[in-house]
Amino acid sequence: MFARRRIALLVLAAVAAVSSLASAQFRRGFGERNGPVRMAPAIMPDSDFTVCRIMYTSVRREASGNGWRTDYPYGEINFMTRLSQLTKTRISRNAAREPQQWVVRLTDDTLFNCPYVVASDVGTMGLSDIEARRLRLYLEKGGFLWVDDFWGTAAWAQWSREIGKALPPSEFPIEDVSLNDPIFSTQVNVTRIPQITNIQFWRGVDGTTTRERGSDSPESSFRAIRDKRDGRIMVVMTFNTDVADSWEREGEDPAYFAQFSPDGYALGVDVLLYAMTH
Amino acid sequence: MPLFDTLFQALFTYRPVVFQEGEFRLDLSASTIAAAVVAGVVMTAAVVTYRGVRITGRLRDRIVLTVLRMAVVAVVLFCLFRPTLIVRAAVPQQNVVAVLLDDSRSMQVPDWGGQPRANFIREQFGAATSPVVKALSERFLVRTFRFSSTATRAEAKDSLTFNGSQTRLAPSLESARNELAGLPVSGVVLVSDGADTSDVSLTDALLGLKAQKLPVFTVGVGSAKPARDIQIDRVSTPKAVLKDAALMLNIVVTHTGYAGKTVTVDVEDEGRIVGSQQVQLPGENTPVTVRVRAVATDAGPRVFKFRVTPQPDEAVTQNNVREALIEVRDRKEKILYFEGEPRFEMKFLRRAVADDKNLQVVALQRTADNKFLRIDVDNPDELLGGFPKTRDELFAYRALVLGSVEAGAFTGDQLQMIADFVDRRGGSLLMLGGARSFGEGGYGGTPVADALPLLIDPATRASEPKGLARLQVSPTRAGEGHAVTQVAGTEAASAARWRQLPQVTAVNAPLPLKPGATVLLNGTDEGGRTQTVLAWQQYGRGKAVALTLQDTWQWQMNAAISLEDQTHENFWRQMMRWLVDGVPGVVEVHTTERVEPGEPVTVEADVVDPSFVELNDAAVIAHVIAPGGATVNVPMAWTGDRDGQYRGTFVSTDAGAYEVTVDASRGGTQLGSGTTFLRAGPSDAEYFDATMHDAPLRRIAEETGGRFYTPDTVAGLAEDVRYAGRGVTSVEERELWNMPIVLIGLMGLVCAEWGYRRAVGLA
Repeated sequence: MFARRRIALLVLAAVAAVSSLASAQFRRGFGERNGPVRMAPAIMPDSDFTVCRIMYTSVRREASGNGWRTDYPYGEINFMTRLSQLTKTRISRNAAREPQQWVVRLTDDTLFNCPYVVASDVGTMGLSDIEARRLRLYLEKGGFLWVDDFWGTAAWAQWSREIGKALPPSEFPIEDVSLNDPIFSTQVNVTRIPQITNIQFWRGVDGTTTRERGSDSPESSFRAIRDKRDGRIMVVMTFNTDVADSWEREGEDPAYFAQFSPDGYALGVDVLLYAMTH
Repeated sequence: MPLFDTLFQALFTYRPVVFQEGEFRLDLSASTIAAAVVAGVVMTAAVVTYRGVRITGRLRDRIVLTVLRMAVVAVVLFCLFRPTLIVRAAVPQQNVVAVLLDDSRSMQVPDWGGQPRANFIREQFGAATSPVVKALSERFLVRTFRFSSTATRAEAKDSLTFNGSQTRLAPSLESARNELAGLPVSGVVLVSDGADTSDVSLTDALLGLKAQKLPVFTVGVGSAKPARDIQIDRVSTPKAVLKDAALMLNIVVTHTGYAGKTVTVDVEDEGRIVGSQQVQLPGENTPVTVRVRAVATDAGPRVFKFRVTPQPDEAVTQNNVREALIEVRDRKEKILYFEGEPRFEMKFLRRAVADDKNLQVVALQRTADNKFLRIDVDNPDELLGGFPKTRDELFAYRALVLGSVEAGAFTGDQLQMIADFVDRRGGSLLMLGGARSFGEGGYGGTPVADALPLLIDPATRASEPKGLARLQVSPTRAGEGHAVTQVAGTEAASAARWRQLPQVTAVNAPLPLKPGATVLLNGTDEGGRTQTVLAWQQYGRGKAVALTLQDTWQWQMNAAISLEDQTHENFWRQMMRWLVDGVPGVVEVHTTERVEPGEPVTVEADVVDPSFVELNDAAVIAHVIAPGGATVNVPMAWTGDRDGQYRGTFVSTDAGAYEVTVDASRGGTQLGSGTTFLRAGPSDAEYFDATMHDAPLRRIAEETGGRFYTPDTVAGLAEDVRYAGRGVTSVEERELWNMPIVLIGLMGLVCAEWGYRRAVGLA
């Protein structure tokens, strides 16, 4: 198992090294983060894989958080790129062969064109009643949601309260997912849930700790809500970790890449393959 | 006696049979020859006299008068020769006549002047004083038989029950012939409606009768024209289905006299209505096919009934119901779904059929080069190395779904194996649309392309898709009535539902259809162009299906689709069930669906090895569980007729359902088993097509030298049998000169001559 994982990590590292010069990995910055938002079109340009990010309203602030925009858009751009390299997945590309990712609101019909959606910094998320109903409908129809990058007790409380509006815990309890679950072995055998910090924090502490909230974020968690109909995981929560930053920032610092990106991509690929089969 | 027979006998003294059977003779004695010479002289003189008459000079008159005079002389001359018929007539009370009376249920049909056919038999053959029996008894020793499936002696007339569940003409004639062996028999009288319900050919029985020169006189009872009646003519049902299968049942209804009337066709599963459809009956004698959707929810051998509500004035109501035994199997059928790339189609397809307890979709997804994700495998070794590399491994599945996976992902042998999976194993292949499917997947020129219903140019090489078509899908006429594409309760609702579904996409270049393939769904793109979306064809023993779409998950996820909508689930469940439907196993058991209690049952089994090569050296045994629970083991032997075919026979002792399980082994290794069911019970076939069938009765009569009668003509039957010339006979002469027709003819000619003379002024 360890040998397989090591091979996978080496593959990831090799791929990253080869493509580290790829311009797409480095065209980022504060300005672009606040650039135009690519709202999902009414009709998707193709049926290839794409990532849709949920645009939501933040009702509170988290340190170093940026609300729904956190890790947008390069988290998904880089992830899609790597996904197409590491797997046979055909990703949606524009005419310039660049990955196409989209943003959707929970109230948009376009949400239902994206069987896979992500959200970051969900410790600030506030859901209206209509948004909660739409999210539940989306998930029960077969949609898959991965929320990431929220840290500490307060963020968890906020998120768990909001998701509880859509999926009441009495019906849809949140569970910690065992590492024996099939979601951790769809392509790479994931043996631990990496605690990944954002690159600024990592630089700030010189890589000495990965607890962005100190003792309030002692370790990362992989939690989930299952479909009561068939037991499939339909909501994945990577808590006290910022997996998407290991994708978004993979090209900014080789040390950061080496420490976080192989694990981040391994987890990302496994979760995505699970979402596409379950 | 009908007018013709009465008139004939009045004019010719004798019945037609005397003329048919008799030998014509003239008395050529010296005196008659002398008389002929005199007559010749008279005729010559007459000619000469007429030639000499020159008063009027009209040649035509002379010719007419000459001919008439000649005719008069000729008739007289004919009588002088003493024309005689020599006939062989049965010696009274020296010969046997067998009377076979139809004792089957169809004789209860009330179409003999509004009375049951049986009443004719009771009236004409029911007692010693009955007219026909009396006439026969005066001439013959009469042996009466009643028959339905076979003929048995009717010791007492009240032994007729008219409740036999079959009419088997040929075996009944054979039985009677054997009973009469060695006796002087003048003929056989067969009284029946001619509605033979057996599949035994008449030819052999007729050969035996002809060899013995035994004439059969047939009496057709009943009306050849159907009365007002509605009938379930036939029903197409599968022999076995999976539990919870949605069945599209084709029920053919025929009728007489109810054109334009709307009736309801119900499908019952052991008394519970599981499907219903109204239909307006078309014009007279035009069959109408009614498609009824029903679900087989209960496992086991189930008797399905197909029923049209009886009308108040129907002649026969028993034919408003038909039955069929369907084995509803509660087992898991394994399907291998190989997807060449991660995509959402796999997730939603698996999810659509997840609740179906009778389907096991084993998913094999190539996630990366030489990396495979296996889901729902039975054991850790299953598909460990990816797509099966041996026939044994692949043929363990009943159906194979190929997603977006290119031909290059397989070895040449694997491609051939896939084609063999369909052709030889009898499995089903479904290829889905995608960037790596069909022509874009490089399947042109491969054995898989041979199997597919769409034609891929062999010169096509694998390539990236060149476009994307957004398609609105709609069923074809064939698709409207197909079990796979029925996405609503009725055909109309289903067609309407298809039109409401959101667009889906296809990236493969449209391909032409192969001859013999059937299109179930078409797609129309935004430019109005139509292309095939779902098509299938039979390929060898199995079926190959092409679904060119790549994202049917839109029918589940699209915002326009409600959470409760089951269209996507139904489509895929029906598709998967259709794929595994009828796919043979290692041991396939066949037998008749129904037998009469006490009849022997022949069980046949086709036995193959795991790679579906027929085996002739297997140990095969059938375990028969009778209705009472008793088990009989029936050894089965290779037939020698066909590779892998075994046969055994047992007798159905009791009425009820029999379960037949056939086990096959070879060299001590179990190969597999198969099960089927059959019923022992009376058939209701007698009430179907219950008009009088005169064709077989006429054929029997004509080929054996007998005659066909109706109730109106039966009075002369005894006399006709007498002159049939069979049995102990004596030669009798029948003078013809004194027939009334001769005198009438003579008088007519004389009167004609006199009248003509008057008319032309020669009198």
